[in-house]
Amino acid sequence: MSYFLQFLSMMLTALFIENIIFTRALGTSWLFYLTKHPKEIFKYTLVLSGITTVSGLIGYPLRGVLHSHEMSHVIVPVMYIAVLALVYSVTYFLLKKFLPEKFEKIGQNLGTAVFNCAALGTLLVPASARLDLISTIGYGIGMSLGFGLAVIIVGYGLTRLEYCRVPKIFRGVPIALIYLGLLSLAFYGLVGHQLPT
Amino acid sequence: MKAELKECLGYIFFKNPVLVLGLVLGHLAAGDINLQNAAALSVTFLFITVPVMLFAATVGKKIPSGFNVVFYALVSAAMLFPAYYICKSFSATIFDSAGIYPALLAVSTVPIVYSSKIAEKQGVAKALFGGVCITLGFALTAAVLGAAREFLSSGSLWGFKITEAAYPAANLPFWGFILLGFMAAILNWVKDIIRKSGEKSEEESA
Repeated sequence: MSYFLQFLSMMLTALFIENIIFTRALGTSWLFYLTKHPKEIFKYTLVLSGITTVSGLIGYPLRGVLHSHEMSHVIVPVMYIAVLALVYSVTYFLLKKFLPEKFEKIGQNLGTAVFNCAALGTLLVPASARLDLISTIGYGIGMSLGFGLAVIIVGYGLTRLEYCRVPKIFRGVPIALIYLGLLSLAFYGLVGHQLPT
Repeated sequence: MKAELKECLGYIFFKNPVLVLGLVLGHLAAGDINLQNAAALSVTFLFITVPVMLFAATVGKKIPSGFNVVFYALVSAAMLFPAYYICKSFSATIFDSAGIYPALLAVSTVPIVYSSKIAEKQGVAKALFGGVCITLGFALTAAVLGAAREFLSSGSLWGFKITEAAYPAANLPFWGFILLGFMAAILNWVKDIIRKSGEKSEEESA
């Protein structure tokens, strides 16, 4: 029971208090892509959760050994990229071989869904905080769900902004970034933080 | 030569990877909080982008479709080592103080997506030129944002104190997003002025 509570508390922390987009700004480019393709949000969140859980499990014992190295800031990310490459290759092969219909649908975007800052960040943040295995998995799933939540919130806001009279020079990327900044500030206050003085 | 310069200026300003194309945003919004971080991110970006784009232009087409991204990610990851050593030669802590963000550049949109969609179809010279110019665009944005946030948050530039007034909240990601938004708007404004002056001179000559 205590393991489950630990898992749940880390998942909720990653989902709301340390949201991958609003507090860490990881995977922002991918977020803007998904806001234009809302049908892919659920699929991508599922792929992100699965890939990071499996990669987190494989990388956990290796990261313990590598953390003591002087160059751990570089070696740990390189190790996780290699793990992502392995997981991607196995997933790609299995999908192509056993689920060709699913492969047709997601095969093209699988590479960009695995190799992006949201996926690597979801593995690196728990690693740099040296969380244990249960917390690492809980945090990874929470961050993936947090990414999906952020895409839905940002996407909804950007759709509403299309009906507003935005000054010409702010249209497109500028207003999207300012909106994302204001949402990030709102999340920062919502979870009880106060601005540093 | 004039055409190349115009194209390079295009990559830096009118096709800026961050402010116009909306790529590599998170690294700057969260990680670029001072000029030293901006330098670490720019050096890492250079060491990753140029070799991966060259790799894509030379070998990319020969790799089976679907596995090219694996190779680009692994080449990017390997390039983190020289970037780390170059940063370390400038300052012992410059790379480490930027946290996970320089390492995350290895899987950012430019080396992974840009290489597979654009650099693969280009020649070596064009890919090299594009990689250097995209890096210049990224570095310029990172330097302006890093300087603005360091000045706002601690009243200093590259660690040298300029004023006592400080607003530490400028280090938070929301400030990064908002400042980047305003920088993108200023760039749109400049583009608009240039476009209008071009139209005016065309009308006058006609």
